[in-house]
Amino acid sequence: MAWHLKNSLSLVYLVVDWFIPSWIKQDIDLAPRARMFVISHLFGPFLGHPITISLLVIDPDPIPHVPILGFSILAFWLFPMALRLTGHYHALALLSVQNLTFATLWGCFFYGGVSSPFMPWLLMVPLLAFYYLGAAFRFRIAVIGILCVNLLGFYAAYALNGGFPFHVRMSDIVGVGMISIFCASIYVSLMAVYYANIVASESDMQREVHRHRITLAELREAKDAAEQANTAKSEFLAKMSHELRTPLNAVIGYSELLLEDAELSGRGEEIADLEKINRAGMHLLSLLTDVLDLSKIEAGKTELYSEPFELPAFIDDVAYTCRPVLAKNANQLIIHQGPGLGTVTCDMTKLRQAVINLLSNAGKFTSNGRITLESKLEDGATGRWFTISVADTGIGIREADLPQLFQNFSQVNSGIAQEFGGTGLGLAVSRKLCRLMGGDITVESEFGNGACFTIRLPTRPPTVATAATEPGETEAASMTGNRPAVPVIDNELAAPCSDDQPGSVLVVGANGALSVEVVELLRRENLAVIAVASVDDALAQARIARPHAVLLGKIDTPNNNFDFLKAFANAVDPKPMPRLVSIRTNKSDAWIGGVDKTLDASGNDPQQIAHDLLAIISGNG
Amino acid sequence: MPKILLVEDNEMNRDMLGRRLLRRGYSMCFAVDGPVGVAMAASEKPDLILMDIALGEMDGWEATRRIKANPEIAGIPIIALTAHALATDLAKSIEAGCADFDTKPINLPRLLEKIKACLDPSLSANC
Repeated sequence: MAWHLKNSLSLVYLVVDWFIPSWIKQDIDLAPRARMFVISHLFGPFLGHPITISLLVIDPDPIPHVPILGFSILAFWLFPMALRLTGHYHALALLSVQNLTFATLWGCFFYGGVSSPFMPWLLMVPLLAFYYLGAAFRFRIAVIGILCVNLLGFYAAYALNGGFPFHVRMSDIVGVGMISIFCASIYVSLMAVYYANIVASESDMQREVHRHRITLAELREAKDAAEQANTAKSEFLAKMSHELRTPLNAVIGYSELLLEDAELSGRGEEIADLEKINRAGMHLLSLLTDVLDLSKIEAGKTELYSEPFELPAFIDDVAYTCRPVLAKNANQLIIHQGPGLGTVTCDMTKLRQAVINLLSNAGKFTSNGRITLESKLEDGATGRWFTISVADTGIGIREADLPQLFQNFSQVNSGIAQEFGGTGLGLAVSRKLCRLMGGDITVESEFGNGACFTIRLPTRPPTVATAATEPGETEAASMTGNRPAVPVIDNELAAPCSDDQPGSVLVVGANGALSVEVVELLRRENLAVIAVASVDDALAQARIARPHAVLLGKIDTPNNNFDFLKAFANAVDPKPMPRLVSIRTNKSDAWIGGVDKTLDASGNDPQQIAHDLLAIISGNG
Repeated sequence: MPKILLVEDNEMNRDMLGRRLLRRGYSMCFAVDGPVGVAMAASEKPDLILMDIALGEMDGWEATRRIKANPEIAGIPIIALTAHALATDLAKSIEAGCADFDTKPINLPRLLEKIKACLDPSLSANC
C-alpha cells in the first residue's frame, strides 16, 4: 500500500516538475512552493467546476455571471503552462490569488451575498497566498492589498446595486452550498497534507544535513591526522636516513682506509674481506638513498634543478662512470649518439641518477653480452624531446612481470634479489624522477632476449617561468648556458606550450601522483599543459596563458574555494572564462561550488580523468 | 706539499679523511667547528679548505662567508662537503663563495680530483 502510494506520488511529481523551470527546481526554498502551486492549479478546477455546473442547472437565468465564474475557474488551468513558458513565478502566484479572490466574491455576490455558501473559499486566499509566496514582507503587503481592493469592489457593487441580486432562492442553493463546502474542505485538506509532508521532509533533510556535517568534520579530522602522520613519516625517514648515514660513512670510510693499508702491505686475504664490508656498506647506503629519494618524491619535496647542459658530453660521462659496473659481467658497451644532439635543459643530477640506474640494471642482468646506450632527438607535437635508451641482451623480463616493474620494492622475485643484488627501488625512483621532469621511462622486453628501457624527456624544461616571461627571453636565457637555473618545485611541473595547439589546460594544485599522470596523458594528446601549485600562480597563468580549461586539484586556498573562483573570474579578462573542472579523488573531498563540472575521480584512474577532461575541452562533456 | 684545513665536527670523519689525505702526502690541519675553522684559516693560511656544511651553530656556509670576507684569506679555495646532494645545497655553497662541492660519504678518487683541480689554477677557472 505504502509502495503504491509512493509510486503514484513520484508519478505526480514527474508531471508537476515538467511545468517548473529548472532555475526554480534548483532553488531549495522555492521548489516545494512551486510544486504546491502547480498541484493546486492542476487539481483545484476539478473541485471548482462541480459548483459552476450545479449553478448552470439550478439558475433559470445563468447568463452571463455563471459562464464568467466558469472561465475564471478554467483560467487556473492556464497557470502551470504559463509558469513553464514565462517562468515569472511570483507574478503568476499573485495573479492566481487575485483570480481566486475574484471568483469567490463573484460567486458570493450573485448567490447569497455575505451569507453565501461560497464564502469559505475566501478563507483559502490568504492560506494559499502564504503557501505560494512565503512570508516575505512585500508579498504579505501585496496579498492584503489584493484582498482589500477586492472586498472594496464587492462592497461598491453591493452599494451601487442597492443590495445583492437574488437569482435563486437561498433554499435552492443548499445543494450547491453543500458541494461548495465539501470541495473547499477537500481542497484545504489536500493542501494541508502536502504542506505537512514538506515540513516533515524538511526536518528529515535537516537531520541528514546535520549528520553529514558531523561526518564531514570527522573526515576532515581523519584527513588532517593522516596528513600529519604522512609528514611525520617523511620527517622520520629523512632524519633516520641522516642518522644512519653517519655510522655508515664510518663503515665505508674505515673499510676503504683498511683496504688501502692492506693493498700497500700486500695482505690479499684481508683485501677480499674488507671489500665485502665495503660493498655491503655501499649497498646499504644505496638502499638508504633510494628510500630517502622515494619518501621525498612521495611527500612532494623533491626539488628539480633544471640547467642547460651538453647531452653528448653527459652521455659520455655517465658511460664512463658506469664502465666498472658493466665490465664486471664482461659486457660490452656500445654508445650510439643520434644526429643533432646538443644542449638540453633538465635536472642533470636526477637524469644521471636514472640513466646510471638503467645502466647498472642492464649490467647486473646481462653476462657476456652487449649493452647499447642510445640517445636521439624526437620531434613531438608538443615540442622537442630526447630519448636515452638502454638495451641489453640479458635475461629479459616476463610479460606478466612488466606491470609491477616500476612499483616500489618490486624485483620480480626474491631469488633475483639474492642472485643479482639491488634494492628493488631503483626503477621506481627513476620513473618517478623522470615523470617529475615531465617525461617518463618505458620498457620493452622479451623474456630471455634482453630488455630495452627508454627515458623520454622534453629538451626544454616544462617550467612555469616559460609562460611567465616573454617567450623570446626565456629562449635566450636558456641558451646562454651556465647561469644558475631556476629551481622548479615538482608540483609545478608543466609542459611546453604553444599557441597553435588544439587546447590548453591549466592544472592547479597537484593531487599527488594522480595529477602527474594526468598531466602526462593530456600532453600525449597534444594539449598544452601548464601546472601550477599555488593560487597566485594560477591567477597569473590564467591571465597570460588563457587556458581552455582549468583543472582544479587539491589547492590550499587561504580563503574558501568560492573566493578563489571569484578572483579567478576577475583575472580572466576579457572573457570567455575557461571551463572550470574540479577533481574529487575521494568522497570526502569538498565539492567546489561554481565550477562547470566536477569529475568523479574516486576510481583514481588517470586515463579516465584525462579522457573525461578531453571530452570537456572538446565541448562534448 | 700543499696544506689542507679540514673543518669537520665529526671526529670519525675527521680522522678517516685526515689519515687518507695525509697518506697521499698532504699536510693537514683540523678545525672542530665553524669559528675555529675561520680562526685557523687566518692563522694557518692553508692552500685549501675542506668545509663540512652541517657544523652546528655556525654552519659551513656562514664560515665560508666569513673567510671570504677577510681579504687576507679570501683567495683560499674552499670545497664544501655535505651529506645531501641537493641542488639547493650546491646553489647555497656557490653563493657563499665555495669553489667546489662534494657529497658525503666521500668518494676519495673524486675528491682528490677536485682538490687537485682547485690547487692548480690552470686546471680550473673556478679557483
